[in-house]
Amino acid sequence: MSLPDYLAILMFAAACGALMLGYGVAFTLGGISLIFAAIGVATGTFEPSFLLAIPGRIFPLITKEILMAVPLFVFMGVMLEKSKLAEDLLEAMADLFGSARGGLGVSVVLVGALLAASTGIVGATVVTMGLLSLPTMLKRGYAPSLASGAIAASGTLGQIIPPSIVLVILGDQLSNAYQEAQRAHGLQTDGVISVGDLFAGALLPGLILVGLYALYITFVAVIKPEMAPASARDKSVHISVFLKRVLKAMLPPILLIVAVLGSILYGYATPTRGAALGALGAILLAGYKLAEDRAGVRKLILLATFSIIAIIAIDLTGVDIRFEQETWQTIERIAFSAALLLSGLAILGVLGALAYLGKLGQLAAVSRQTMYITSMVFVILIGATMFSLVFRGFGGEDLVGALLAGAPGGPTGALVLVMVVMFFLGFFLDFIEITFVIVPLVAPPLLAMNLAGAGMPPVFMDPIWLGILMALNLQTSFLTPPFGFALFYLRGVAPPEVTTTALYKGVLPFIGIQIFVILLVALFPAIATSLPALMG
Amino acid sequence: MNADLLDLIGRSLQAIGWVFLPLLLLPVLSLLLPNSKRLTEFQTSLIGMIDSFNMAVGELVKYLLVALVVGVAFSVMAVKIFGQSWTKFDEAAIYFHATVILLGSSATLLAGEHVRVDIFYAKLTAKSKALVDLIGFYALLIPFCLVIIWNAQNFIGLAWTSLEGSTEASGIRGLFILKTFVSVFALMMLAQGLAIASRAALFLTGKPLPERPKHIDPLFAPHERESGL
Repeated sequence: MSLPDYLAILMFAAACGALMLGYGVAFTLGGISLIFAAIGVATGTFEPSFLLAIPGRIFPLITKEILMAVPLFVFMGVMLEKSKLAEDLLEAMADLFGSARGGLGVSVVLVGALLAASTGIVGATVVTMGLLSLPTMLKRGYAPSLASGAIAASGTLGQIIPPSIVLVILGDQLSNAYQEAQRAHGLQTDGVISVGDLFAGALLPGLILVGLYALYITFVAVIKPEMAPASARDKSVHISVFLKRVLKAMLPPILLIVAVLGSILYGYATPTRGAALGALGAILLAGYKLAEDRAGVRKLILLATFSIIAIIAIDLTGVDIRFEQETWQTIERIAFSAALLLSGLAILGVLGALAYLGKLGQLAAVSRQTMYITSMVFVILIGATMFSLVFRGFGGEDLVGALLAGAPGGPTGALVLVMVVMFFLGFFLDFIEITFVIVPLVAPPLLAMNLAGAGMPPVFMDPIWLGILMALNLQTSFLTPPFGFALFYLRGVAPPEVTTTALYKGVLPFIGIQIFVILLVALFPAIATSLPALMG
Repeated sequence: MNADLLDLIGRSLQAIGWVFLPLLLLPVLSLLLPNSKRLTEFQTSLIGMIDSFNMAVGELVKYLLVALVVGVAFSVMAVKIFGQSWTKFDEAAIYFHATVILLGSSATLLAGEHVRVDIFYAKLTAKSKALVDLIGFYALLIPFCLVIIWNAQNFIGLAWTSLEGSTEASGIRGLFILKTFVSVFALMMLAQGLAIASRAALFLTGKPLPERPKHIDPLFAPHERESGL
């Protein structure tokens, strides 16, 4: 190895060490790489003109259309969270399933899968879930270990269930890596992958995880009822009133998520567009929910919601109502006028909801939080870009390639090596940082490796499969004691009667489930790849 | 645009930059001269100025996110239903998005929302946290920002020479302004970092800390909220 190689390795180690000190991640990544660039220039091993490329690299990242999905999904999530819709959803589910053994635990898993995802930050998700549901579960007699295990696990679960922003980021990085593999590593295929493909790929493994989590909790509740007792339903409330209340809290957010996900997977909208529609839906939902004593506002919002649904219904009938056409038929004229009128109503309702949320200060609070999360994500991306630029300047890329090529056990060995490294990085770095720094380095050489033996037609790794394995792997890493991210955050908000030992004991079965699903996806790639292929 | 004029503007901006550069030494200076009343006063008012400026910019640009949501949703409807699309409208969304990131990041830094690895940091005393912010500013944030500003000169200069706009004929002709925001971003981050490092220096020398803007949690206080959440 030569001096630049040593510097590249040292730089990586220094960045890991410096991150531990706790200065902003983005600036640590950027700053450390620049310090090493300076050392490189002084020793004649780094070309300073490399740094000239920085602004030209930053700019495309922040003007990329697909990454606009990040602020839009975050807006949707923060809006749903801040208007307490998630809380209502959990309460309603607890009411509905609470009278069954283990029912509350299953509700927590389902809500975690549905709503806690949208911000994409493990810490924030777990804290929200912990504050929201841990006290309720303990109050209703759940064993602290089972309660905290279920919450930590479902808090991280949201990460790999689409639509989640980490999948947007991972999908974008993988799509770049796939092109890089074709361009620079001689991968002979013209395939492309998209964020939508990754969403589709993650759906089945995610649902399997949800199912297994719920199954495990039910299993425990059956063999050890004292760990997950059923709570009596308030008998004074008539069943129909009760059901109505539960449906009212559950249906709208679930429909919204399903509609957004459906439109993206079905190909009706790109992830960015789907996210915008989702955020718009969240505005309407929050406006309706918060305008409890304002019947007028509520009516306006309801009207807008039905108008939007009606417009989409008109569109789905296939009647041609495009603005610029020559062949207007009577039915098309009628449909067109109706759609135009409905659009007007929809715009009016959205403006009404926005005005009302603005008056409450809700709009300002949601926008502020969304701005914080968005700039946090993109500034890390800027820092990580500087880091990779300097790392490449030292030839670190070839180093990683050589390391992977020389891994014992061929491509499988290289894959296992990458997974193990990512698993340990997951102890102290969040999903976003690992995706931005590690994926661009390891994914192109991995994707270009030939899995088939000599003399056979070449077989390559499926990028979607690789992405899903990475996502599952990181999610497990966040759960693993003693360093798992999710455990740290849950410890921070858990009441003192939940001991750390109980917390560790509680997550073990969920880690078992995770490992099982990772092996399942590793051995049967079709679990991840069949749905994207189906939607082609 | 006239190349000579641009060159002159560029040179003047650079000269202004060099003049203000020594300001970055302020936190260190105040650690070395803890008894200078004038220095403390100057520092306090500078922190106040930077904090309120960055806060105000953040409070303003955050509403672009609402415009982003409504704009993209509206354009989806227009395309999907009526087959209408306007390049300017679609590009505006990207301008909003990029502006929020570039001009809102310093407000994010002010609020302590740029995520840290807090496995060890969370357990540090307020004094050690202040020290981390002070050293981090000099070792990491200053190089980060200055390298962007220095290397962006050509990048932005070129954009201004042609008053660069969209590659589409009917697009927005403002790419050169958006590109300029890359430097503005680095400059605002540098200023915010200076304000935080100055605050850390005041704290380390036991001086009273200036107030933080509305909605923003105090820094280095005993009951500090965990950042990045």
